[in-house]
Amino acid sequence: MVALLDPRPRLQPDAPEGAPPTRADFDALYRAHAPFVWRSLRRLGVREAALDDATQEVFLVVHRRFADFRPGPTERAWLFAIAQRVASDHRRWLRRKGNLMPIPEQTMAQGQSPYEGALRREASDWLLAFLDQLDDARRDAFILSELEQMTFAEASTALGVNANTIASRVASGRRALLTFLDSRGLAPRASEEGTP
Amino acid sequence: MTELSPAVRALLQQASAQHNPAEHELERGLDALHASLAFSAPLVAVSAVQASPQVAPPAFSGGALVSTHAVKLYLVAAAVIGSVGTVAVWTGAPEARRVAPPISAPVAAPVQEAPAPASDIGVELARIEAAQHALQRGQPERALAELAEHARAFPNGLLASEREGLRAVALCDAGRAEGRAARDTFLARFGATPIAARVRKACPR
Repeated sequence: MVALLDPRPRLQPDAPEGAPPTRADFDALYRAHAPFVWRSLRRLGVREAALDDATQEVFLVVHRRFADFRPGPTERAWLFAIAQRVASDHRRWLRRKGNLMPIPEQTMAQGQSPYEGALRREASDWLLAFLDQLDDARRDAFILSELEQMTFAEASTALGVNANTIASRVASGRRALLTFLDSRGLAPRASEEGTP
Repeated sequence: MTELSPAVRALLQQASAQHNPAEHELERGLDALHASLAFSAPLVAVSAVQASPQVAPPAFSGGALVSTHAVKLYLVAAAVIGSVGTVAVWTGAPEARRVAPPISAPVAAPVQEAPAPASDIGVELARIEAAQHALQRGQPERALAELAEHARAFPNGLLASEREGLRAVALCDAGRAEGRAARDTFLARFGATPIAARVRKACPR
């Protein structure tokens, strides 16, 4: 809903449709950014079992709005804004369905022992759990700045708010992270800390 | 600003590295997109070797004529109760059963250069059904892609009214402003059809 009302210029939901991209252009964009879209959706609350569908949904929008696509530093910002909207549709759908989605959280990579696989999933779980309990504004800023290493300026483009606001959301997100790690008993002990 | 210690950063990095997809998941996604999207021709001529293999739509002919209208009736009923597959099996329509694709494997898009069959209820139904499934799964863009394929292959197909109704629903579900116009156009032409109730619900005034 936020994305819908958002006045960001390159994301007009009803911009006139241009010619479709060539398959080569589309494939190149997909190969360059599908991992980013996938993990963003996951961090925005899309269930594991729905990630492939949701990623496709994002790229269907990309295909339709290819005329708006500007290669360069704002590529990922543009994609993230689309992913936000798809994820928000997904969350609304989940609520409507009463969370009845099956959750086969089957992410074990080849060659891992079951133990390693479980450890990895567990490690992944706490971060998703943390993101899930943040409000949207802090979560989005935290994802882009801390997990995707975007600069405040880049994140500001993606989220349509100024860089100072991003900085304060990230700061607040960091404090929330430390509290969360503490409450889960996951905080590194002082002896493991590099600096006091 | 609160700074994160190196140990916390390491923890964060380790956890966030687990969020990437596997290569085969991405390839599968791209294949599915190719199957339902139209692309512009590249400026450079593509050699025959590079051109994608042409997948002919499954042919359904003899015997379909008799049950064509029956299948349409099933579909209208299905659109209302929202489950094409169930109804098709329940009424024992063999064509419908045969072409109903699993959600994850949509029917290959009819190749554009190939002349579309004048009426092929099996292929039409598969498209409409795929759109229906996508709507149920909260994927309006996927539904619109399927409906666009249907419109391209069967502009005046037997299921054109269902297509236009579902298109209005999908546009409204996607929060697109064209939804309103699509709703009005649909209701003006097909206001008395069973699917109209669904359109009104998806696109309230």
